[in-house]
Amino acid sequence: MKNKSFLGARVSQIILCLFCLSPRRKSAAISTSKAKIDSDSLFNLKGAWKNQKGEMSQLKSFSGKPILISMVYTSCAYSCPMTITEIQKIEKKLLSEKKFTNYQIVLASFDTEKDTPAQLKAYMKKRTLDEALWTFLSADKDSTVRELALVLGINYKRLADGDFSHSNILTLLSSEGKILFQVNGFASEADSKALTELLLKTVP
Amino acid sequence: MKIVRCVLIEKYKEKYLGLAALFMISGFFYSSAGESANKKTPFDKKGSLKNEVIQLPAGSIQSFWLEPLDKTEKSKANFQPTQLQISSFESQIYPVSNREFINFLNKNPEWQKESVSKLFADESYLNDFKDRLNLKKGVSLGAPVTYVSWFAANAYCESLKMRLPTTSEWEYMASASETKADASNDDEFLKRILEWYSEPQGAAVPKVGTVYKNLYGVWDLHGLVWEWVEDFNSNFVTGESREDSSLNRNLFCGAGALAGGNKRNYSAFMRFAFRSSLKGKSSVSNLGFRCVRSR
Repeated sequence: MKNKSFLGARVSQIILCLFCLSPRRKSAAISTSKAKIDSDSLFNLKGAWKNQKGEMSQLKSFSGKPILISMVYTSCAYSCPMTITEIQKIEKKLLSEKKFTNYQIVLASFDTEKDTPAQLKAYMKKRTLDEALWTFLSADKDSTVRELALVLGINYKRLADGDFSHSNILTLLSSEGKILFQVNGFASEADSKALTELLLKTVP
Repeated sequence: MKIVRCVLIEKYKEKYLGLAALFMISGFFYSSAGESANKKTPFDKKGSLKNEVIQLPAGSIQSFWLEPLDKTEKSKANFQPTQLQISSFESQIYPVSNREFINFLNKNPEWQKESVSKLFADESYLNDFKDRLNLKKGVSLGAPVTYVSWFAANAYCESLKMRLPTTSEWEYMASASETKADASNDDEFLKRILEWYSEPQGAAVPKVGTVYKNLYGVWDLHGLVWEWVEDFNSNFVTGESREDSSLNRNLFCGAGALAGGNKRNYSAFMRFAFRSSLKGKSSVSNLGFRCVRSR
């Protein structure tokens, strides 16, 4: 009968839904459009960024794993290369000592004019940054950059020659986008140690 | 090889910032200049204010910072002020008032005191408000809104399809007196600004449109409240000039080697020092804002 087969379809539909809703391992990315964002999470920032693949994203798309985040730009000749080296040291340490890769590294560029996705990709290739772990972001609007810098406490200024004056702060965000720890300037041995230990603690 | 250039506030820092800190700690406030030279009230019979937008002509101001003409120059004796070119833009003639901000809060409840994100405002946010949309007793609707964070000010301006002025745009507008386009070397005008800065806190913030109107028709840039600028976090204060050989180069990158500029413009030092002390979520009793837009 038509009713019986309809009921059967309904039941299997419900079972299927229950299966989908069953608890998963927390390391899987949560659907961020439905997840509640805490009041002090950086995921409250609504600015639009593009990554090195040209994909659009907001910061909340990085939810689910802790994030090491810093701000640089590709034509920076002085401290940015060192900042990246510092992060690579932490990356190596976590990998070699603890086989830990359950986090993300995000670089956000100050330079809305010159740092196109292609430029970001070329830079990542030059520095051999593993795209499985590293993401390089660039924004279309200067206000997006300004807002991120403000919440991270980074001061910066675009200079007449296209360079940027900027302070160096490396930030560890929780998987919910909250600031856990910040390193001002280059990471000392003690800072690196504190960072790696905090990261390891964030394993769900 | 690119020379590392770093931003410094020179020996003036000790002299001026100490005083600046003293002023700020004592919670100085502006009180009305009393009888304003321009008496026409900006409030209509209902008490509403029309915050018109007027055009500022293109022009230039002397930079606050001095730069070496030759980038390899190390002696600060050879640093020169530069002229910053300002393109024509449009500005609100008054700082944003409580009345205007309440209107914004009504349409954008996420910016109300009770619901604002902790990322975008600190505990003092909208301290003059009793609750969501109502001011505390004694606070005037026509007074400039204060205890607003940069994020809130920015959101307000965006709601009008405007933006916050850059530091240069603001300083450009504010360098005009009632009669002169560039009064930044006018000792009389500079003296008046410092007098305004040093008046003790009055009972309540006066209404907008009561201090003075400058040559361009913009009101109260000095004498009422400090004002947010878009790029307030673009300057760095480093250590004592005596120690600049031990400058902590870890902290910043690629900054211009600059020294503090016009020694006579002490009020400019105070503003730069004040801005350097702010964070994006700072909500301060004598800090408001106005909006501008590009042409």
